[in-house]
Amino acid sequence: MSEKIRDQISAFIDGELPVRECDLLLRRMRRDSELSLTFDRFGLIGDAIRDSLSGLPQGLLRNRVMQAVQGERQFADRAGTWRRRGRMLQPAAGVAVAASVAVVAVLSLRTGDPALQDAAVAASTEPFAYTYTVPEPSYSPPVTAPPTRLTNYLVNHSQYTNTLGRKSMQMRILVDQSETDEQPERE
Amino acid sequence: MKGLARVGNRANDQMLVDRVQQGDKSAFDLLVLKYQHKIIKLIMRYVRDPTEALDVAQEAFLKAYRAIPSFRGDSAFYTWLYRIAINTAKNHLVAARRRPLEYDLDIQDPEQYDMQARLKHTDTPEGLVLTEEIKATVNKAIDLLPEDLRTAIILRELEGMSYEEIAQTMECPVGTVRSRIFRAREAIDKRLRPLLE
Repeated sequence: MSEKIRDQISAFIDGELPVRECDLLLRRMRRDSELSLTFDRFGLIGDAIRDSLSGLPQGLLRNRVMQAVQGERQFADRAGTWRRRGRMLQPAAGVAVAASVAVVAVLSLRTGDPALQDAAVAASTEPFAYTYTVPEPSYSPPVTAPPTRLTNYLVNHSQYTNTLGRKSMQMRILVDQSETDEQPERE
Repeated sequence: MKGLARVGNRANDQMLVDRVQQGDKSAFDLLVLKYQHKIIKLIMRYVRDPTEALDVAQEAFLKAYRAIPSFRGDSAFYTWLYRIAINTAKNHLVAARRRPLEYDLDIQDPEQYDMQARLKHTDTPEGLVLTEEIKATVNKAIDLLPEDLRTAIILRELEGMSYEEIAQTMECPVGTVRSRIFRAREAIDKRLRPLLE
């Protein structure tokens, strides 16, 4: 391990290493465990000067953590697995489309149905594409109870209320009924 | 020139985080090395038993590793890790149906904790001897350093000055500061290494 690299580690610990040198240093540290140990000892010196040593055996926590981390799946692997699966599924999807076209073609030849033959030709010549038809907007008015039924309900219900409440409810029914009578019928 | 720009401590951590997010586990190793003592000391404010503290610290780091894909750098990495460690320690205590030892810490402020940690130093019997030996060795090595090296390393490690600030204080070029700090570390490391092997 050269003095220059140790000097870089020292500057890196202090956040003073030029950006362009950091990448190479980190790659070197990844390959050479001796460099990581130097990083560790230089950090330990700082902790000792600041009187912030933990009092636990050196390297014990680090070893345990990194053993546990090694058992974890890598984030890049997770993303890569999905990408690989996607790539593997692409030819499979192509095969599935080709097989469906072939089935339609065989069936149409057997039955002699020109509509099926046209469908098979169209499917084999046109590029495969997902299509989605936007449904026609439709409006249906909400179903309402007939006024007579509502009136009957309210009249029956008013038998259990006091006189004042009954009067006011009956008044409302009369008003509602007169309003519906005045409105012209739709369509 | 962008290439010559110094990254700074926070950006340094972010660079390591970026690498971890890309699947580089060795970058996480460096983060563990950098913060292991701070995190252990922090957890031992809550969990006095060293074996338990070690378990909790391991769990905290593992949680951080699992959550690192969602780390966006809105706060400093250590602040984020600090909160994970505090929460892990508290959850551990709740699970163990015990009350936390400390209530007066502001968990949002790592700097405040550092100040209190210096005031309330806790050691464990297992590591006490080695810790004391390391401290004694480092202090002795610092005493033996030439004055310019000693000043440079003290200003950096104790005062937290940047190389630029040290250069202004010591009236020398930044490159000289970098060299002095490195030589100081090398000299201390030479005495420390036999102790750790």
